[in-house]
Amino acid sequence: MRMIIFASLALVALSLPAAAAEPIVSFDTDFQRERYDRMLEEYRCLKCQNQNLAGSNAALAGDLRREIREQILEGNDDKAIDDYLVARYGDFVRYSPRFGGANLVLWLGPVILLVVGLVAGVSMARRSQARRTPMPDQASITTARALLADKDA
Amino acid sequence: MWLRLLPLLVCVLLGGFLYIGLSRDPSVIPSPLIDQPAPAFTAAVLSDEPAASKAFDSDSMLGEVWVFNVWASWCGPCIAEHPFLVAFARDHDVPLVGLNYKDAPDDARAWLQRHGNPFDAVISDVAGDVGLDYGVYGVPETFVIDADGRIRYKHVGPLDELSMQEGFLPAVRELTGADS
Repeated sequence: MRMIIFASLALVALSLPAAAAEPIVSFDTDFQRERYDRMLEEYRCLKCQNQNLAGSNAALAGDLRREIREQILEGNDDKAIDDYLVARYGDFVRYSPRFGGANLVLWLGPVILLVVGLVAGVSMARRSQARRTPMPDQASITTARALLADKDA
Repeated sequence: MWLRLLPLLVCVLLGGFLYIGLSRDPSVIPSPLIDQPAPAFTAAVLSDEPAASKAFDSDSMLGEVWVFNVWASWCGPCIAEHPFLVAFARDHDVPLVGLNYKDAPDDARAWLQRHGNPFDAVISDVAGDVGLDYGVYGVPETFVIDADGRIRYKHVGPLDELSMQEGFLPAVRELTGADS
């Protein structure tokens, strides 16, 4: 029992530094905080490209977090903040690409490939069905059974 | 019949995409700022006497082609790039403005004293606000801005012999119309 308590305390102690790394940011309303948390997940840190703003320790990510927080407090809507980031860093900064332009390949490519695959699959299945040998009729089956029975006897 | 060719077609297409993917540098992100007006700013100039610091207004550069180089004393690759900037400033009559990005002014001054100062003006951007407006995500970065105040060329990472000869200098030459 004592061992378990000790182990859980150690786990809690280990998890504290991670939470303490970033100064806690304050907001006027919970809604603002929710928007902030959500936006940090949605944008990429360009310095360490496979991390989002929430997960990155790079100085640039810190600056962008600060900028997003300030804009939320100023009352800018999501679209305005999105435009701000995309105007500076391009579409690459977003983790969910905009629908339109060259991004259509990203959005529609999988659907088109799926349709092509389905059409190919169905047409191949049809073809192999057409080629399949027909079922033997009842008479041949009876004959075959009789022949097999003879052999066994 | 076309079904027989489909796997081949898919392979060729996939191979093409992968080949393009291999030949691209993922750390270079195409900037949306190319051919856009350079963000205007007013910021303090890094001067030898901190008390006598003046403000720099980017609008004062309108009417001439200029080069805007983002650097910092804490930036390792900037040291490798520096000789190319020094040579550029020596050989060209194009204003070279430095943006000292997220740096302590004292460190920046010491760095310039040690390595030489090729800049016509150095702007102190301690908080990184100007850098943010220019979409800076790695230091060094170099912008070429035309007489109308538009960003016409951007280089991410240190300038070296190859990027000078094949990207940066041709861009400057095209804008200035000089053949130097």
